Amino acid sequence: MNAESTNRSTQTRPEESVPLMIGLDVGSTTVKAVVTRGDEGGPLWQDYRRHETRQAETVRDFLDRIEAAFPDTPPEGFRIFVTGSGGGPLAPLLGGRFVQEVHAVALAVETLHPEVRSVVELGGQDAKVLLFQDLGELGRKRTASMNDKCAGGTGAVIDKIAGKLGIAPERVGTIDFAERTRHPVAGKCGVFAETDINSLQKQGVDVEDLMASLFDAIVQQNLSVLTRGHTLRPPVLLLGGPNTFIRGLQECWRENLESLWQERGIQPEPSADGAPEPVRVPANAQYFAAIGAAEFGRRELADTPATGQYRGLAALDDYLNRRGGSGHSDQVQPGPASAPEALEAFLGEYRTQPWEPPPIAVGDRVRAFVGIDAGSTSTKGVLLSPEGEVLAKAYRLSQDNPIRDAVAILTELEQDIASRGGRLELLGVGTTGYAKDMIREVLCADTAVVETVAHAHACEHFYPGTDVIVDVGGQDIKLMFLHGGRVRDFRLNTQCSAGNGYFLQATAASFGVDLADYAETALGAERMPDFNHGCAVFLQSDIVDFQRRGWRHSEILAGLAAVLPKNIWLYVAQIPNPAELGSRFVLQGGTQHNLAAVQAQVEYLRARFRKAGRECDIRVHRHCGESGAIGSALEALRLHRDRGQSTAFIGIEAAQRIRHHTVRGEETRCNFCRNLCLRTFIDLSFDDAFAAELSPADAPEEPESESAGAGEQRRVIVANCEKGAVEDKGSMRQIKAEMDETAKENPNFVEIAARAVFKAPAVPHATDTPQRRWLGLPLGESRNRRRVRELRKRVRIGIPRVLNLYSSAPFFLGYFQSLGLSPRQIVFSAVTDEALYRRGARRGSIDPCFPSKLGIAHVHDLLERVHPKRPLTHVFFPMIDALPPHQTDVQASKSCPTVVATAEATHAAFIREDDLFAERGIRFKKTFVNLDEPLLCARQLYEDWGEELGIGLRESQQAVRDGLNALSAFLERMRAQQRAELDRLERDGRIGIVVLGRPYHNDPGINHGILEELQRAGYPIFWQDALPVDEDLLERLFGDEIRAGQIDSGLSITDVWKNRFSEHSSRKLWAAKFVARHPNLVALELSSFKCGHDAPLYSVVQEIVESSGTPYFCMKDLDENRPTGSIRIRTETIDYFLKRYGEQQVANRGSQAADTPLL
Amino acid sequence: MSDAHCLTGIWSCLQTADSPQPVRDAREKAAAPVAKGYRRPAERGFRRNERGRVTLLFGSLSSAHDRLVKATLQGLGYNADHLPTPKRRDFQSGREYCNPGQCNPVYFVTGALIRYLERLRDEEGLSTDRIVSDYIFVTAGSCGPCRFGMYEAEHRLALRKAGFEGFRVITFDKKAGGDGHDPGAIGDGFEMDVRLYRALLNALFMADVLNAITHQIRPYANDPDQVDAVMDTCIAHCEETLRRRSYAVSPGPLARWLRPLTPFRSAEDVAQLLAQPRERDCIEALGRCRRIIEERVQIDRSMPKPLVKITGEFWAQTTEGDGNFRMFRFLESEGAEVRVEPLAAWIDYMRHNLHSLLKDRQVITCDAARARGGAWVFPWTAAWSRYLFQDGMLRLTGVLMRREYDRMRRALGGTTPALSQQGVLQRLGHPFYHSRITGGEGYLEIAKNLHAYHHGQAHMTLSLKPFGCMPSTQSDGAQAAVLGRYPEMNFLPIETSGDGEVNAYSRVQMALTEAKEHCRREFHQTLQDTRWTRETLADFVQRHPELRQPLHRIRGREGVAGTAANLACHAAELRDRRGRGLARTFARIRHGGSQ
Repeated sequence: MNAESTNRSTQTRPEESVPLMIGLDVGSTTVKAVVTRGDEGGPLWQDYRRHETRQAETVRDFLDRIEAAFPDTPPEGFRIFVTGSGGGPLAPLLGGRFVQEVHAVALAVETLHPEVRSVVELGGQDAKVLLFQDLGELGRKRTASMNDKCAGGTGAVIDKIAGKLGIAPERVGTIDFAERTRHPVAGKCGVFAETDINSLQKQGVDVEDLMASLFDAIVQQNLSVLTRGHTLRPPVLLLGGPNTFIRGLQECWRENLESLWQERGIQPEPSADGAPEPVRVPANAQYFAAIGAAEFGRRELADTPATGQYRGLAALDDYLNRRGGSGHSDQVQPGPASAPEALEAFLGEYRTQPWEPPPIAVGDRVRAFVGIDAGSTSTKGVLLSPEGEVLAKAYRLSQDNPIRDAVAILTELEQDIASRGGRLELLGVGTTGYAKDMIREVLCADTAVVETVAHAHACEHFYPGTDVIVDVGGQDIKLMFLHGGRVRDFRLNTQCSAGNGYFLQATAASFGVDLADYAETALGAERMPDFNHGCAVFLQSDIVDFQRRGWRHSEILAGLAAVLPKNIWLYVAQIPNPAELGSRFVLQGGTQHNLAAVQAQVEYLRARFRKAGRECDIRVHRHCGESGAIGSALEALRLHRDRGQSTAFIGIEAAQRIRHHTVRGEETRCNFCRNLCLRTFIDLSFDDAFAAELSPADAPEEPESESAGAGEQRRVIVANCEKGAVEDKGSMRQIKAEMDETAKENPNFVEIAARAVFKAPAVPHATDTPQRRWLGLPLGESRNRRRVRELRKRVRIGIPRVLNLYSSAPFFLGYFQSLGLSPRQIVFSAVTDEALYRRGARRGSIDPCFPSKLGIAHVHDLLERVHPKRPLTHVFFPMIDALPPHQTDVQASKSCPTVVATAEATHAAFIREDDLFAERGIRFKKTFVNLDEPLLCARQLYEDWGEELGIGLRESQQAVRDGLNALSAFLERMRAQQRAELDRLERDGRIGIVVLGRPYHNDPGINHGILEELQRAGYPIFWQDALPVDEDLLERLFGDEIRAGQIDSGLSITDVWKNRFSEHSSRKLWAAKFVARHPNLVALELSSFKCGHDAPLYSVVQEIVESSGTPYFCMKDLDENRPTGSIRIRTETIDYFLKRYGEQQVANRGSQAADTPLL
Repeated sequence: MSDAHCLTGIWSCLQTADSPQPVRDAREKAAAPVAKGYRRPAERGFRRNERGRVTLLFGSLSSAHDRLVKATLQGLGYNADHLPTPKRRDFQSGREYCNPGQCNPVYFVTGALIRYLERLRDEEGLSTDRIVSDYIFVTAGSCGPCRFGMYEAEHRLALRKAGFEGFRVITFDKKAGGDGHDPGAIGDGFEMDVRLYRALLNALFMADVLNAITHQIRPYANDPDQVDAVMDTCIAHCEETLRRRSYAVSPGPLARWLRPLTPFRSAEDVAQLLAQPRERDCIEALGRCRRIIEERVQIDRSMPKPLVKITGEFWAQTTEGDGNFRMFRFLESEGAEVRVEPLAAWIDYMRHNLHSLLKDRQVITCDAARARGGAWVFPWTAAWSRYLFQDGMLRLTGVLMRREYDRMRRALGGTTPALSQQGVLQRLGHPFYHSRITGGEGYLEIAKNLHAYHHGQAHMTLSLKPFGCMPSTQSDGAQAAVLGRYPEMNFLPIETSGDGEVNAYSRVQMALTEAKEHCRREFHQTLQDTRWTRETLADFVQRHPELRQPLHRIRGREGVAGTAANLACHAAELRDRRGRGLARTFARIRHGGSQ
């Protein structure tokens, strides 16, 4: 439907005898309606409006206006057909019929744009893809795909992030895409995208670049998941609000689709209507579902004239008057106001008086330490007296640049003191939060403290004797467990910030409720919906559902507050019974200003303690929003007091006169390694007048910046690693040399194994059998043998560098080399990186764990990069059903079923439309093998490869033996190296980190460089699969238990796990036992999002390690995106933690270790 | 959530003798006092002398399965109770106590168990000690590769966190609990013998056919609520039968003679097997159900409704509660007829997988014999012979199983579908999903979809899978190639979880719209081909009351999926047959040949 037809139709005079068709589309964010005439023609009336979560009210208003627009038509003259995610419950109230939205859109497209082959409709919460395919005699096939419950990659994400970046909706629509620099942003999940954008924003990236990056992420996400592996063939129609109103999004679709078509050899043809544009946005794109609903009605009317008879507004009014929650009875729970006395008592206890700063005498010199917390959503600052008293506080919602925010905070603090008659003298400056390092660099602050440590200091300062700190900030949830005033353990949310403060804030804002009024609104609810705890995106989906069911805002807000403690304790901490941790809890972080959130947490904790028959003491930190800033100021105070350190801070005046220019783009890309990371350059200068005042002696030292005299420009580089923190090669080489030295001192065996495993082993060739002889005379090679030799010479096999090949590649290399293939004939795909993944991900039709999804990307790499250089004859993706067992007493040594079947899903992705292997003359082999049964394995390989490579069964058996020997030799080498390092650690009394993970966690594209960061911090990294198994070591670690008869051997896990059939689970459990018993090792568990086999082990692995007092850390839910900020907080916290652990515990590690505080 | 090895219990029951000493030792070691670091909780078995006191809890299949299994266990002398159909609250409770990242069936079932125990404690006033002592949870076992086999530990962990430390969880898997690893974990309270398996299989098959008939007639019933009431009565009849039924047999000479040829331990086991083909009680109970249904239910099949075949993960396609968003009821409310897979098909699939395991063993032993060289012929021949015998026995169990299922199906009118041949399914699925990849449903999901497509058995295939099911997700990935080859196929996978049902319903409606279109086209085409109009067909049905009988057999035509379309064909045959009969009669009259 185009604009002309609308105008033409509007001029048509309705005829009385033909009913008017109302097509009503009630979406998750907007209501759209069209009125058409029942016989034919375009809309006579149409409108589109955001419903601001008031769906039923907006519908009522629309219908009112429709009735008014057609005064001559009585209600019975209308037929109404309702579609959209919110339309289901409203349709019967109006007498209308519900039309499924994809069906409605398809009808509209088929009617108005029959030439179109693909449709992408982005809604508020929904994303839909429709494909039209001509099947010849079978007719025209529609294939539809919708997002499931996750709303990642939809308009809601754009709205939310634009709001966070402070971009007005009108401006979002005008942002262009083509000229913008794009940064890596996770489109898979709105929460992950938010985390990435937050981190990039803190690095000073331009907000429009961020929005363009988000568009790119959303389009990539839809192309890789929503299309379920189909190709969007031209012409493509873009529909829905975001596609209609956001120009940048349209440009992004065009760019991505054109590149996709080019890659797949699809040439867009001008359509029958002559429109040359292969990607189109029709003028009325937002109305298609409504038009389709009316079209559905028009067709139905032919068969059943009485269908969809509009009944007027009476039933809707009745519904609006009486609604107040529906759904299953078990989704309703009592709200805070259902127990007024308890609520009153709570408010009496927890409602605090506003903080009053201490008085300052006029003219006083106020000596103070400043702490700046550059948090995810806001920047906070405090002034602390040398006695640790809070003198002033400042708060500011984060703007577009953390430097400006920090300077503004300093200015505000200074003005505050000045307004009270004082004169501020700063003795030290501490920073914390996401942008702590950047601010320290720019302002020459004295210390940058990791957030966890800052919060712990702040709590202990005001509430000594606390057992548990619950810190809920805008983006992060942190739990710290203390003992004797020091942190003994901590939990952080990973990249997912489910249910955090910003989510509550954004939801309130979407309801038009000011954050300050959240508590009052929510605490007034007598009942509330019961949300499932977990992912914020799913919560968002539930909100829409509950609204649809008629829940009020206040009730939904109360329900969301109630889910917060569940997310804290069950989702982040995974501790169902907090009463085990102690009885004194302190709640801090900005979210604790929200009394509804506090009430929910207090209720939750008290209920748990009641269950345990105990009492608890829960307090809200007096300065809950500023605790991070206080902690960093306390650290600056400590440095000043204990070390006599004088501040290097440039001064508030200098800070105010700093001019800075931030650049992040191609020109800042680091070329010092193959990662080619983007860096942020911040060029600093003082204004001229101030520069003249400064003498060179005043200029602060800048160890990692291009030093310049006062008044000249200096550059601060924010980079992912030390190498990138400089510009010239000489400096880089120096840094590199230092890094190499650190790496040499602290080998990363995970990285070493990841490289070594794909190197050709030394293997005797089975084909080099002794020459045949007769009567002692050599005979020539048989004709068959020559044929086979020639056959094998022509083979070139590509193997994806994925999954279990990270541990078993030597077997396959050994097997083929044994058959006479040279190592050059076996090639692996490239090492995983973001670009490799993105290139291949578009073919995926499912959403398994990231390591499995990489299968497609790596085969794509083999086809598109390796094959064109030198043709492959085969792509080999073995399905390894079982592995050689490392442990004794196991029932089986099976691989993960996801991993085994990845080859099938990968193969399907490349043959679903056209057989890309056949087109390139490549054979895809996915031999099913059992490496635990050599004879069976030999038979399996013989049956699958025998004919093509001329392999005999005996030869296959020999090659399997050679392959297994190569695998053993590889492991032995790794074990020997790790043993040597372990001995060195023991001699030096140092700490090493054992990575408890699966083989594919050795893939740098999967472990996201976490291990390198820890290595750089000074810890050798051990690979669990090759931990040494020397007799003497096993005797030391397990001898007592063997003699006590608890286990049969040092390689047994029968004492900790019953169902021992999954090989990598068994290896992980044994490695956990190993770490738990070795005094120089600590454990870091890595696990990928959606890892089914890791999930049942989480508690057990942790308990095994911690039961001996050994520190246990984890990074779970690793996925395709690299949450830099989250990783950094964790690695820094781990480093801080281990430094203390190393200092205090290694020498006397014993039974009391578990109770000894570490921070 | 399950895997092909769940049935290894049956086979190992056929194969194994006494527990091996080293394994028994391992079990004893596991239970030894804690000496150093973490040790897994010691397990307490279920002893024979506890039978009178202890209640076995299990769940949660469909309501019919749960009720009939409970009655069977009671009939065998156990105290038993099933968990209620898990709801959303159970899911939340499960998530509270289990590790994160589990697949949903675990959350639902564990939550249902914990809430059941909490009700015993909080509402019935039983002490925690008493609950821990007097109740046992029985769950299916497995030994890979799906994580389902590890969930035994997850149940224990959750129970411990919920305050039921020491609560016994027993895996219903002979290998896991008795003869394989950790012998004695079950204890002698549970008699894992042929009698038990036989009784349970009878109960499961009965529930299968009762469910199938319910799904078949409810969409067309004049009063769907009446169907629920009638089926409730039928299940109650079957419960009564199973509760009273005795499985006692005395081994005759034939059983004693055959025993040495079989892997069974006792002649009684053989006698149980021999008795099953003569089983009458269950057949008669189903016969009574048939009469009740015929008496009380009237249906109208002339309204075209799309037939939706349900496949997917075992639990998600079986449960009837929030675990799959109450999908069957939803589909019926949207105007569809649902065809749910019987549990028997799953059991047969697991049995069928054992053929591959036997083949592997044969390959290994034969190749090993040859590799040793020398006099390899004898061991090689022995291995082959052993394989052929065992494989033959396994085939025989398959034949018997299908025969028993068919008898029950026929007893209830014979209108529900027969079990598919597993060999056929394997051949269909293997090119797209290697038949040796076990875990979850393996190749079954793809095979069932293809089978339904090739034989025109459904207008749409809905694959239900819990969020986080590993094998099922990969099966969907492989399904892409199937859909590429047959683009006209209407296949929809849905991940079910405790929330997000609105989007799931929306996606189902999306595919159902296509299915309705297909069904409508098929019906109109059939009317045209059979020379009916809707009115004449309705009139014919009105004049032939047997066509309104719910258990009247209407033969499905190859390539015709819809019930209404098949009715039109069937009615046309009746009409034509009668017409031909009348014509013959008139012809005979005309020729004076009438008698």
